[in-house]
Amino acid sequence: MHEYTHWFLDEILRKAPLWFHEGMATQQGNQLGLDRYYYYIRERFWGNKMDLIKLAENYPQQPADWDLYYITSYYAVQYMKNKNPESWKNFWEIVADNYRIGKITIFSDAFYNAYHKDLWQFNEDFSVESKRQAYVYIFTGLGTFILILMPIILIFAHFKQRKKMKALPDLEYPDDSSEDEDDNLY
Amino acid sequence: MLIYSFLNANYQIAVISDNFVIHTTDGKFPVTQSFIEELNQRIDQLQMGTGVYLDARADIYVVPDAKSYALWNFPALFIPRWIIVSTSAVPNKYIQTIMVS
Repeated sequence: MHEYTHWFLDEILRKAPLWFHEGMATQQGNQLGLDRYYYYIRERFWGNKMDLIKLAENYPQQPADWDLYYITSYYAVQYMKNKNPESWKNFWEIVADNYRIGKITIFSDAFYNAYHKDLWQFNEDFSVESKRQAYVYIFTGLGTFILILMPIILIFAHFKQRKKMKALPDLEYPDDSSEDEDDNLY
Repeated sequence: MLIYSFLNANYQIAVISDNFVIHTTDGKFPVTQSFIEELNQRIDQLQMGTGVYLDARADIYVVPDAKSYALWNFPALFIPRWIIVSTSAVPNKYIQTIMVS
């Protein structure tokens, strides 16, 4: 499905950026799990980011960066789709209309007409959004840390409670005879 | 075009579906019908989702080995009409053929 998506996009679009190709193909191929999402936000958090403009035509030189490139592309397409669903719809309507009349759509033209911004601006917006997403990493990290500490906290609390209980003075048992007397009143 | 015909001569059609044609060297493609159906369904979903319904079927060439892959890939570099997409997901600007290795 991943490969078909590339073919599909090539049939209908001209000069589509590489990130769009890979993002769509990764999405259609269902190739993104929670682990890769976590990897993405972690890398973003530590400042490792991919510039969509710089990498519009070429893959990163280092193979080690390819995975991040695919994930970044995926999120760029997700951002394009979810941030403004109406524009996403318009974009594909432009492409579909052109295809019906036998024209291949130039990506940047359709993008501009649908989103009313160019790819530079989109890259800026996506960068800001990605930074925001990186904070998810802190919260997930904190959550995980608390979960790991939870058993230790519980054991500690248990012993503390026990110690406290032991420190309490022993109460005398109620006197049975007085209770009997009370009962006789009724 | 001649090179394409030459390369294509060694392949036979193994599967024809609504959205793609699979070519293999022996005309056999050992997958279940459900695989074909699922792939077709997902392609339909993509086309419905975008609203772009392609008339063309994708030609998928299942190459037996890396050598065959290189054979297809090399002329594709010079003849833009059928530059291929490989499993390593290298997209191309002029694709006519999908190569699955």
